[in-house]
Amino acid sequence: MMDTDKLVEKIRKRFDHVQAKRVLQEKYQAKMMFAYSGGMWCAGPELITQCNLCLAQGYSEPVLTDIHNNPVKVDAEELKNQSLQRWQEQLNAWYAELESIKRER
Amino acid sequence: MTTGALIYATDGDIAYTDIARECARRVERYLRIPTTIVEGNTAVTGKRSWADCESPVEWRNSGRCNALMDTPYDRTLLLDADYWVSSDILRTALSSNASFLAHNTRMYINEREPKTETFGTLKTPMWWATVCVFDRSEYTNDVFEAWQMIENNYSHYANLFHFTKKPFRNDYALSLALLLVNGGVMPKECIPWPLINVPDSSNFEYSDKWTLSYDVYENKDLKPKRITVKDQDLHIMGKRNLEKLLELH
Repeated sequence: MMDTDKLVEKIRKRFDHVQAKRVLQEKYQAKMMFAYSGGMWCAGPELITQCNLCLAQGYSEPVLTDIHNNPVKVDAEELKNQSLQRWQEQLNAWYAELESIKRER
Repeated sequence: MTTGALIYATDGDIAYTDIARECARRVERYLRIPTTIVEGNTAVTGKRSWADCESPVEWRNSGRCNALMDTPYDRTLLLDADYWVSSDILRTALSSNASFLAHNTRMYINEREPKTETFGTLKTPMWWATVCVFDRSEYTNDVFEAWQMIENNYSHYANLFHFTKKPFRNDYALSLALLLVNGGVMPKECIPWPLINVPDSSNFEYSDKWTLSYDVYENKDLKPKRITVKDQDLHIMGKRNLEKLLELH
């Protein structure tokens, strides 16, 4: 049998779209972080561009600073690939989850 | 190199050992690392009030400073039992070379943005002892030695940094230990995302995802709101909420 009190309570608690979006943003920003070669990196266009620049100038194993400002020797091609893959994977997941919470009422 | 999680649990008003067992199950499922549960010190270090309880709850949280001695692993994830692992996100921290990592920002699920909490009238920045990742380096050893010293002389440090002596807070002791071993400045290395806290004033339901309910002021009226989250690690606060965790499985 339907519990009308519970139903009324649920309807009263309106879905907070703005807040859900904020929490989702924190979740996916955290998921952009990854460890590589002992350092910690944030996947995204900035890191990909840095790697591309090094590769274009012939530096295949440059030293880059990670998010904690520690210099780390890296394989630019591998770091670029990992960053690109994670960036796109997480953006896709973020997009899909955002679309699904948009339907919440 | 061995990697694993260490969870301290002491039963009192809250059945922490049961919560720790569930926490261990989740660590093994999501992070695929072994877990060791250590029975903490049974000494009551004070009482803590929760918004969801009528009377204050006895607090037994000392002895966490022995984690480096107690851990059987080379790289350890030190977790509070009330940290609800739902993703593999902490693998990133475990895979880095950083000697000691902890959260220095937090975001309550009903807050606009992450913040660095401060404590005491001197507004000392707070590092959370809820989740720590550490190795067996000299630096880590210094952090734990300082943590132990501060715990043993907590009243002195409470006077010095102008915060309340009771209940004992591991977050404060850890923050001061980090401050001490870094020569008076806070370390730059941290877990680079905020600790997501579910406050004791909120309520939750769990099926395949979390439905978190809370009240917010809107045009001077308190309005009930809710959000849903999925595959998100959460730090659950409040006695009633913790007891509810046990009912989930």
